[in-house]
Amino acid sequence: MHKSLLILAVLFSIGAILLAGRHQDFRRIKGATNGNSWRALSAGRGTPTVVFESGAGSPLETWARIQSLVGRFTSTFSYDRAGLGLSAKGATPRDGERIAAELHAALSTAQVSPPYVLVGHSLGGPFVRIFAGMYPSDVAGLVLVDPTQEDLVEWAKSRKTTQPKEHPFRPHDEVDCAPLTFAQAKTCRLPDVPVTLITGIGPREIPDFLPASLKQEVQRDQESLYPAKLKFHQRWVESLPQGRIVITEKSGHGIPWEEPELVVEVIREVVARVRASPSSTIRRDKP
Amino acid sequence: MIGERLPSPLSALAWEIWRQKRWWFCLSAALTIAAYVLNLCFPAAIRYTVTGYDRLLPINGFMVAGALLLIFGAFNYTGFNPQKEWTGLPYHLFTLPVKTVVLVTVPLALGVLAVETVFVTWAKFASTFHERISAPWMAVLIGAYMIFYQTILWVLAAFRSLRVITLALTGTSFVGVAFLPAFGEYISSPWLSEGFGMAMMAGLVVVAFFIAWSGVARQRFGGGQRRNIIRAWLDWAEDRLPRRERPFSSGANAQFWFEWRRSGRLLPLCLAAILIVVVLPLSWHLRHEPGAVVWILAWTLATPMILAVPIGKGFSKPDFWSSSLSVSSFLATRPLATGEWIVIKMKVAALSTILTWTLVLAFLSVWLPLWANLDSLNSVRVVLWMVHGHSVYPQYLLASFGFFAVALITWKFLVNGLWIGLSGRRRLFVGSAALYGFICLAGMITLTTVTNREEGAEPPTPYDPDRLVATVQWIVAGAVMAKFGLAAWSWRSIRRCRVQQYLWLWIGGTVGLLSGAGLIWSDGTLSALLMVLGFPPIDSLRLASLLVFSALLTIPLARLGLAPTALASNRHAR
Repeated sequence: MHKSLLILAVLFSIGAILLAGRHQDFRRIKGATNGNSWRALSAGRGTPTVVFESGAGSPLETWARIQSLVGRFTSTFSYDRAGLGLSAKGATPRDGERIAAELHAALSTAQVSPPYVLVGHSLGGPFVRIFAGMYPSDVAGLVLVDPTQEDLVEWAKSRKTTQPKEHPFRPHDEVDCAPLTFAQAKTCRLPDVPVTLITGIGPREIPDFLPASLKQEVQRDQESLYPAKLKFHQRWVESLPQGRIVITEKSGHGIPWEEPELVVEVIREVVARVRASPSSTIRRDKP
Repeated sequence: MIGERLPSPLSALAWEIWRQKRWWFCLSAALTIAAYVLNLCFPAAIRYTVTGYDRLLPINGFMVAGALLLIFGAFNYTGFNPQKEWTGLPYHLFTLPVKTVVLVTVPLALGVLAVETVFVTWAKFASTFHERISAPWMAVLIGAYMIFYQTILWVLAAFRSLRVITLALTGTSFVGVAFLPAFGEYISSPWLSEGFGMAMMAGLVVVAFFIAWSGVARQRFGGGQRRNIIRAWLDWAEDRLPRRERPFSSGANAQFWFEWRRSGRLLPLCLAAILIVVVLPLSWHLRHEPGAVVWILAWTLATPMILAVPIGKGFSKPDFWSSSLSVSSFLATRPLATGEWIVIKMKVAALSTILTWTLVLAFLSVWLPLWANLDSLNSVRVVLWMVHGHSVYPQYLLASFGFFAVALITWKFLVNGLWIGLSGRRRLFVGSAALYGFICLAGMITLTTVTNREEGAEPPTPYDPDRLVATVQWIVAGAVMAKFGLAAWSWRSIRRCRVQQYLWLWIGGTVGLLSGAGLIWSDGTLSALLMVLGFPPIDSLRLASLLVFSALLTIPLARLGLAPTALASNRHAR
């Protein structure tokens, strides 16, 4: 045997065994509606629990860069909604109230106790708002990451000159059910908890490699859509007693990928506010 | 057969084909029967429904391809002629008391009969639903390809292994032609009808038959004035190329030159031919298709590695162009140490790899900026740009690491089998080639099954790729342990300085690969890419460990250590 290579072999074998055993602690949670299982990921310790809700069609990997960092200062929970990622299909229609009820059932099955700080990106924003309206005593705070705002959608629709292609309503599609979700989100009443909304109106620089047509589209968005989005987000936040808005010019809609550190900072700040609030201890004891 | 009288030369011909390749026929029949039994095992609800048929299609598809390929293999009715140094129609048949037309017609007719029999048997499984290509049209194409196949094998006898390129190009063209009538549904043209296609094929088959007949007739009568016109032209062209006139400074240099001329330049030449004949026209033709660029790019990057597998098998032999695995006297008596010979082969493989990837880079640097539709590629770039803090430099770094990795894999495929090819053991050599073939086939079946599963009816619970990845993770970890364990044993008798030299190279290359793996995994880049490209989510920690294992396994170590001993035993066996 060659001595140096033998030492290398022993070292690499130990390393290989250690590496082969590495994996994320995904859990399978039994769904409340049809008994099928959902994929979920928990990390960290402490209260409140930060619960992540992804945007339309996105798996829990949306939070890949954020959850591990948040898990360093509190407990976290992310999951694939029914029919997304590696979760089984759920009951239809896939509107906000159904999704909120399913999340509530999933949290109690997974024995994740309130209080929760809900973090929702894009369409996940209306979902967590509806959850907070349905289960106000369980929610200690909200972080909305560039949420889809019903007023903005209405505004954008009214400005469209061409009619989008009509297709039959698909009740299993969250986007098709979005009008229902927006209506539910509009009517729900949020509890008096810290709410921070991050709105992305950037980035200002457009990469050179983008085709000219896409560049024009981005420029159009920056000129008209982003100011409108900012206006609607600001108006909504101002209507909340503990509302706060964070404006970023470094990201567009993909904030969890573009500026994960900003999302982590905002969550940290909301968690700190929740921990500082005396009412959070009361909520923590509730089932 | 001694003392017995054969009924006729015709039967003798048929008997010889059967006798030589009976196992191929039996295997093809066994595959067909196995598939039939396998299909019977599935309930009617699966066999006779569209979704069930879709699920069975990958298995049936690969089995029908296997059965047909075996028949084509059986009708590779050729023999090596040592006088002419070609591999054409077995030259001992030239003495049979039959006319050349019979000599050519019998194998052609038997080939068509055999391949059509297999196809008709298989049509039951393989063409029930969504028929893009009708069974009669397919039957005509398969029969025609058999004629073309045998014609190419016999007429281009002097080209020996290189005929595979012509066969592959003809086969690829046939795949394109097969879909022409399907386009007729969208474009109204009489040229795109099955009837026209069949008439065209019949005409081409007649032409091919006459080419085969005249080609074999020329060979039978000793060639003739124009017998080797292409070869003579190639020789003439090669003579005009600048050639080395300086004496070699050392035996090692001479051997390097010899190895390069015999085998090293083949990979870049083949790749250049594919780039010019296939990729370049295809990329121009599909320049307005946004999705095509990803596929063309993927195939362009995969081609050197795919080519390196069969070329590496030949490269691993003492002489690329010889069917014998033993070291010839010419090579065995070279004033070179066995270890030095291996080092030269590795260097030639490295030069071959560098030149090949330089060609790829040259093509990409012309194609991508000038006429490629980059829309779909840019959507991937946008994700990387977003993930990497709006900087494009990590993309360039990733591309560089990617090139480094694929070049190393190409080199690995060229040198990995040296210990087998140089050992002179035919069974080991054929067995390893069969293993490669089996792995490729199994991989393709698995990939198609998984892909088909995604496209077919969705099960209530989605398929969890983590289970598969977890199994692969442990298998690869085992491979890493085996690699280093074997390396400690295989390098034991190799000179210390050589071990150190190579180990430094190995460490350098592996550290480079590990850095690339780190870059692609960090910041959730890989997770983001998987999401954007529509792949199912995979545990990122498992992915990270797989990347590390892949980096450790890429550069060959253990098996290379076996090569000097293998060559020494082969070299001194005479």
